[in-house]
Amino acid sequence: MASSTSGSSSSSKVVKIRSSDNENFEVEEAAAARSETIKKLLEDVGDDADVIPLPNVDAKTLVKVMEWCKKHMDDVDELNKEEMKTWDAEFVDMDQSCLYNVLLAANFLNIKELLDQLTQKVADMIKGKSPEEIRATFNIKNDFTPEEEAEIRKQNAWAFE
Amino acid sequence: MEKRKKKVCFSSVLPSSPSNWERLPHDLLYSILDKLDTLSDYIRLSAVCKLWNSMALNHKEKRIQLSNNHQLPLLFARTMEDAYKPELRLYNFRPGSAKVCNFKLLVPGKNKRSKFCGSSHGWLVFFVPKKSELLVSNPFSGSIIRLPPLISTTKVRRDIIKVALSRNPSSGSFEVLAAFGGLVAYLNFGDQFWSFSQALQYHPLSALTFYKGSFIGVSPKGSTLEAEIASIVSLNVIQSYNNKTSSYIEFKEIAADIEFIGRPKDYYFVETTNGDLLLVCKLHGGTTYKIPPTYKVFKIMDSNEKLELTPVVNLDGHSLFLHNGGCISVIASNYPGCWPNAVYNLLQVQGSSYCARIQQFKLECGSSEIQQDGWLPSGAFEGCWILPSMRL
Repeated sequence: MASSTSGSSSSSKVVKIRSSDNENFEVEEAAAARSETIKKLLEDVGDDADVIPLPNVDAKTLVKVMEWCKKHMDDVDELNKEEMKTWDAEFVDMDQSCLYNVLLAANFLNIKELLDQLTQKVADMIKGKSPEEIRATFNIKNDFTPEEEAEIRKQNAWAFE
Repeated sequence: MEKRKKKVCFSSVLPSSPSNWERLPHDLLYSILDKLDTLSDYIRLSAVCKLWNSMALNHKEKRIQLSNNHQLPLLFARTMEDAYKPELRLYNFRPGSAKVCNFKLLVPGKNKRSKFCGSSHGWLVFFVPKKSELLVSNPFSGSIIRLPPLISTTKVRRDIIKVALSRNPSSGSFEVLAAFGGLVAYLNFGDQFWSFSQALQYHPLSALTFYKGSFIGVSPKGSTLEAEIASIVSLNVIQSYNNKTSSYIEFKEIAADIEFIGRPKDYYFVETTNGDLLLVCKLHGGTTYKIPPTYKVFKIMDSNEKLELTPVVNLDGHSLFLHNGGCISVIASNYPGCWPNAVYNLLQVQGSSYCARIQQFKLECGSSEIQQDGWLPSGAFEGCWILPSMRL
């Protein structure tokens, strides 16, 4: 394969990526490669890649995702694990629309660990809430008819205190 | 080697959009569902919007996992707000409090005098004395199974003490054993008639369960003021094939007698989440109600066709929820505030119209604590612990 022969010796090699709104970013390859999608694209295009376009991710979201990738670029030793946990908790603490975009981006970019943290965050935001509160939290439209909703509630009435 | 510039392209280009959680890709919603810990969260999520509803209903594995072990039991308690409509009300017990749920269940059967006789495999069993009939009801699905009337040549004493089912009735086939004061009745679901035992040579069974293929019970044999002797019996039903009504029930002592210092007030069978069977004995605390009862737990183990009872204080991290109507065990570490190796039981508190509280007894140190906040109606003694399931 092309990429295996071309000079990837430098650890601080930089790759260029472009967001859907046509902003270019330079990111360390090791950080960008946290994304399986980017990693695969890099392998495919090798050194000839000028800019990797990411048409599914806007600049604001891409900045956020790359912030995470940079932090998680290197293996974490035991000592820093706690610190990393705190950092991760603060990272996922964002408003729902931002969370939504980062979640979709992490899905598209295929970053497993980040996806795991984000879906966990969403689950935590759902826990203990009523359907109304969940809708309010995530700005979800209730598309049930009143009859349908009443029927769903009736079926498992015990869960709706 | 080939060096060719590849064009990177994407089949779909999505513009960055405002959040649209109700259109979340399915695999993402599945991972979110996977991270919920309780069935009630799961059910409430299913009521948010159409997509979430269909996803929650389709994720069978998670639903079953949550239904089986990731929740605290709820307490059914009989209330008498309207004397003509006795109902069972559900209480959501969290260590430190008991919260009433809005969920009510009318006692099935037109006869308001039907009596709750306990739960088995998540189903509730009611006895309608007027018709000598047993009703098996699933409180969450609403299904009711009517069993043939308990009519026999021997005079049936109408107080059913214990009922056990061999398996979950939703599987379509199950056996029932009902213990009265003086005898035992057996029915294989589908049979028209019950089989009755001879009058018991034992004292009335004070606990009954189905474990590893047979019904087993505890029978207190005799007691003095200081001690009580009890034995574990198996109740084998010998079916005679030419005449189903004449099957008989054989009693066999299957474990060495247990002798208690003090007089046990109640016995309970509890199966742990890893399939061990425990026998719990509640011992009188003292002559006044102010001294709470204590508990002894025995692990029942097979040993050369006999059962052996080993006293244990370590329950592998389980908490046991005891009730005459039905016990449940959970793994304590899943629930903040729940003590491992502890039993929870209802305790009668005198001098109050709402007179039940929950006692927590730690087996390892023998210390007892009565939960002070949250009351339960006195009817809670006619109820059971139950793990709710999701109705589709």
